[in-house]
Amino acid sequence: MDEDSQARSQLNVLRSDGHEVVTIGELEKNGTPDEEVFDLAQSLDRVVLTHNTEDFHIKPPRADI
Amino acid sequence: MNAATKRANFDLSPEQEELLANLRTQLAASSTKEAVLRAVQLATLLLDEVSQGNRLFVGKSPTTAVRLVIPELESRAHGQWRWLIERPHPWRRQLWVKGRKLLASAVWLDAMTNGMSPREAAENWDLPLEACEEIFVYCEANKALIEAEVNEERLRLKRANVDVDATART
Repeated sequence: MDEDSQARSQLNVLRSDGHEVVTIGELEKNGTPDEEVFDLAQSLDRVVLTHNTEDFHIKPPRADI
Repeated sequence: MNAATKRANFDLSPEQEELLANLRTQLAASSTKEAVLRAVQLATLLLDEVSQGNRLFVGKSPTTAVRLVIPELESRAHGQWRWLIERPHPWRRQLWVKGRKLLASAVWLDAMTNGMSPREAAENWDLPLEACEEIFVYCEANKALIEAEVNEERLRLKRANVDVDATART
């Protein structure tokens, strides 16, 4: 979960529904630029949940995935 | 002339000269200098009010008054925020939570949607209560800007062929 989405209430709902979720804050990476968040998610084979739709929409997928 | 006083000389275009003449007439000032000084006092007064977080309204009655937004004053008002900060962004102008990659409106809109108080929002987002109280004050005072930026984002996504509404319904 990106930094703009890691509200506890949201996290609790997702986890109680059985989703395996990790937040940028839990990874101690608050303040990480969008590009690095995207790369990190891809390297961990995870989906990024963010409110920052426009900035993330333009990011191309990594070539090796 | 008093030794402490200084003479100010500056060039005026015909349009600027006319503006000053009109101002002098409107304020019934005895001289152009008096008109300028009274205008400066008024601008200073308004700036002080906005800097304290107060909002300006105009209208014939309190029930019909509408908010008066003067961009030059609003931009100066940013100096009052302790927990919020500007960040470079191609088109967003609203403030961010200091030290976090988090828009003030993300916290506020989430709190509004879920009926949360500043205290509940602070717990929800792991923020100090004072930061959330400031976020609420800022967002209440800048609803129009926040709404405009939501619309701008939708417009940009639409241009990129992303149907946010359809995505939200699925």
